[in-house]
Amino acid sequence: MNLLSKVFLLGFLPLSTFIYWKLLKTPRTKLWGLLIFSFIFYSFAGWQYSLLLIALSLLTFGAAKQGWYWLGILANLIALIFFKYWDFGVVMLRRFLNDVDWSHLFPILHLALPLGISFYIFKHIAYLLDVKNQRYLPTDNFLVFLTFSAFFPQISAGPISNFKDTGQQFIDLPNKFENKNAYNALIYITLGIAKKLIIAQGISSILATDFYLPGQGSILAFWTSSLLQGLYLYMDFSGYTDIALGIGYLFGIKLPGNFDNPFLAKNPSDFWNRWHISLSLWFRVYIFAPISRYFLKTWKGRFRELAQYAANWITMTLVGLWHGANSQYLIWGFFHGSFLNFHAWAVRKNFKWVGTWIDKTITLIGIIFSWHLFFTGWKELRITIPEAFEINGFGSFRNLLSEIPPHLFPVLIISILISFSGFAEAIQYIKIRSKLFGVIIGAILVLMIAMLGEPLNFNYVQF
Amino acid sequence: MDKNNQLKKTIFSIGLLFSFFLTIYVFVDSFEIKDAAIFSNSLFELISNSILLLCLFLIVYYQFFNKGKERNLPNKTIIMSVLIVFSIIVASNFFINPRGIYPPSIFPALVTNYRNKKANDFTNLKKSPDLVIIGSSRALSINPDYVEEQTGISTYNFAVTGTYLDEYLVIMRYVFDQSKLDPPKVILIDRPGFWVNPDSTADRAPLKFFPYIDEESRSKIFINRTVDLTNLHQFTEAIYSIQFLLFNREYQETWTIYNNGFGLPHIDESLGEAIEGSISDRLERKLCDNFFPDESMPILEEMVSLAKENASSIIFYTSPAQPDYVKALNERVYQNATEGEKSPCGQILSDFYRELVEKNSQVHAVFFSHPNDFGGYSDERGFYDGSHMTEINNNLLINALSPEIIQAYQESIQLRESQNLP
Repeated sequence: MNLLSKVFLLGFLPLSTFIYWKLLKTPRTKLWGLLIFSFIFYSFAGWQYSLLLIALSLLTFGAAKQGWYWLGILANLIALIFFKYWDFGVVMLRRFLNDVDWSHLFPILHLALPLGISFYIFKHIAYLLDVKNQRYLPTDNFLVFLTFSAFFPQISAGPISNFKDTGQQFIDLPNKFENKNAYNALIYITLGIAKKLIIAQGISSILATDFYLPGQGSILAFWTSSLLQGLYLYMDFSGYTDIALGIGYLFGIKLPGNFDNPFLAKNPSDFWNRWHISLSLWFRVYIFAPISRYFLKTWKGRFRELAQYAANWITMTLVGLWHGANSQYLIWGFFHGSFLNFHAWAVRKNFKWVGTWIDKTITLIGIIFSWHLFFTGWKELRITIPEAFEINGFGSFRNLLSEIPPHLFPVLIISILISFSGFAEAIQYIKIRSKLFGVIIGAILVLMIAMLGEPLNFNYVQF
Repeated sequence: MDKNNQLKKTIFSIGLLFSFFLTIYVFVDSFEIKDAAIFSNSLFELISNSILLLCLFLIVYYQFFNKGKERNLPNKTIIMSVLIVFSIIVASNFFINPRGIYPPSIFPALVTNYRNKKANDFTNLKKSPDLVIIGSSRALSINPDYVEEQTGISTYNFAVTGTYLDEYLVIMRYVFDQSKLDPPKVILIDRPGFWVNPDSTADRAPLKFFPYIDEESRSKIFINRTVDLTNLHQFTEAIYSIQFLLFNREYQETWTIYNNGFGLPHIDESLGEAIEGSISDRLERKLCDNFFPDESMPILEEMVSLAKENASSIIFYTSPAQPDYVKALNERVYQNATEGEKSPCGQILSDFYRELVEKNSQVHAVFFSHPNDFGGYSDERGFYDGSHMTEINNNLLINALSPEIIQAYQESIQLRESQNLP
């Protein structure tokens, strides 16, 4: 079931909210309710994958209790690698060993990716490492842990939260539906749908026109399309996150945010504090920090810079790989590693432009460029784009604008305005406690649900 | 900080005003009162952009002008506003019923449900016809009066636009069930496209078709139509209906459908323009759409067995496409296609029909691949567009088909006599 479908928004969500608050009276029944809702939701993506989710949750829960941390981590990683990277690995293997027939041993399986596997496995690994490092004690309640793993608002594409922040909330679920939470839910869900349904879909329609044909456009068209791709992804993913957070509030659960106006990043490092925050935090805590420590320990405190550069490269390449077994994500990740290193080097060298508007501009250019890598890949950049630039040169604004359907201009203007002014996050609006505001937002919500046709897929659900 | 805020306020206000005027301009520019689809789309875009503008207005107002002095949480008022907007949309869609899919018929349906009309007309016929034509828009312009004039067999044309093979079966079930006492002796079937689309069939089905639709599709109808009560596209169409009522205008129908099922399209472009339009449509679709899905075989077989049960004959026929259109298709759409891609359906189709005709004595198959095959015209006299023949060409086609129709009719009578059926 898709979060942005009429079946979900007019059927599943109101019904489950009503049952949760009106029929389930105790925290324990509420917990059972959330678990059942989550598995009903999950089974729409394939009931067989529910078994995998239960099995991995049980294994993680048991491993943490017994202190078999590495076994738990290994089992989760094997499942992730098997479903997400098997075919990619086999293709790579065959490329390297093209004289040997390995197909009977390593066939290409064309496995469908279980919904949210990358997200809930990361929650499991974080849980195991946190318990191992005594950040908190393992839970004794499997029901709580399973609900934490499968919680339906965040199962499709995060945010990746840790057990201490989110899981603990399932232990003592609130009895009363607070007005504050209802209001927050309304704001988050409405803004989330607006971002996805109107802005992201509008930008996607612009991108679908002929204004930039990969490898055939001008310099101007290239940069505009890269910017639009970034805006699209931001509106799509932050729209999803807002809806997930809003649904969380409906059930009295506060989930962590994922975005903080990323286009206002002061430098590449700041960008990762503002973009897909839950993922970057995960990689920072569980990958970057241990790798840095390892290098520093191995090199006995020498080559501190090198340790940071190496850790950045490894971490960001893995971030790229997490998005998918595809060279374009790998290169995108490696680019971001290099970009972080470039900035770290500039800071060490104490260049005058560090921390100024030049720094911000370089960051913005780098980020926009990286979206092109993310969506199009390296091949186009390496071969076709230089040829296209040679033929088409800088390009003209007039030609570019003429390709954009006129009714989509307001979408373009408004998406740029809110993204570059710091007004794009739903959290900024929950402080406004006004009757007029609430009434208008409520009416907008209904109109947008009415606008929905076919269920809309969010980009990050595929990861 | 204040300076920065002032700059933001100015930029946002300019952006808001610019977007507002642009939205109005685009709406006025694209607004077309005569065409329902354009009107509905313009209104839909206007609502969509208005939502954005409203959001932007709220940002400007609450971030720069009103610092959220009210502190109460007006949940009840919000719920009321949600329910009011929701009710307006649902009530308009249900009572104005612009697509003719709900029971009320206070307003004439904007998207005329020809199926509804034909289902009613068929049951209101004084005597069951001996020949029923089933097909898509390609068969709509066969005049039943002309068929009767040529063959002496009473005829009803049950062809409907935008149909799929599974709907042929639904219509056939309906036809046989509604004329139990005197079922038609011949079913003339326009060669179907072999696409199967139970969802579309269910979406368009009038209430009278429900018992003849497969169970799975039937259950979807209820859900889909309930969900569609909140459909904003339908809401914009409802507004279109109201403004027609207010201005006392007449609907511009795409087709005029007569009581015998005969349909005439309203043509507003030349044959050349129509062919060019069709080619452009085809260029946007995937190259090889000429396939024969597995689900279509059992449907065709059920159609044959249904005819057998009623001792009726079936004639499958194919009318030709306009020769210039075929040429353009081959040159522009199928230019890079392999031979297999160009005509896989033709071979499978002829093999299938050959087998069907051999196995079943009451099945006939007649194919015309060029207007010359039946003395038809290739120009404006014979075609409206690339694939729709005019009444003139359809009359000529009926002339050529008449012997086959009469033979099929007589076979059916003999069969009924041998089985002591009415």
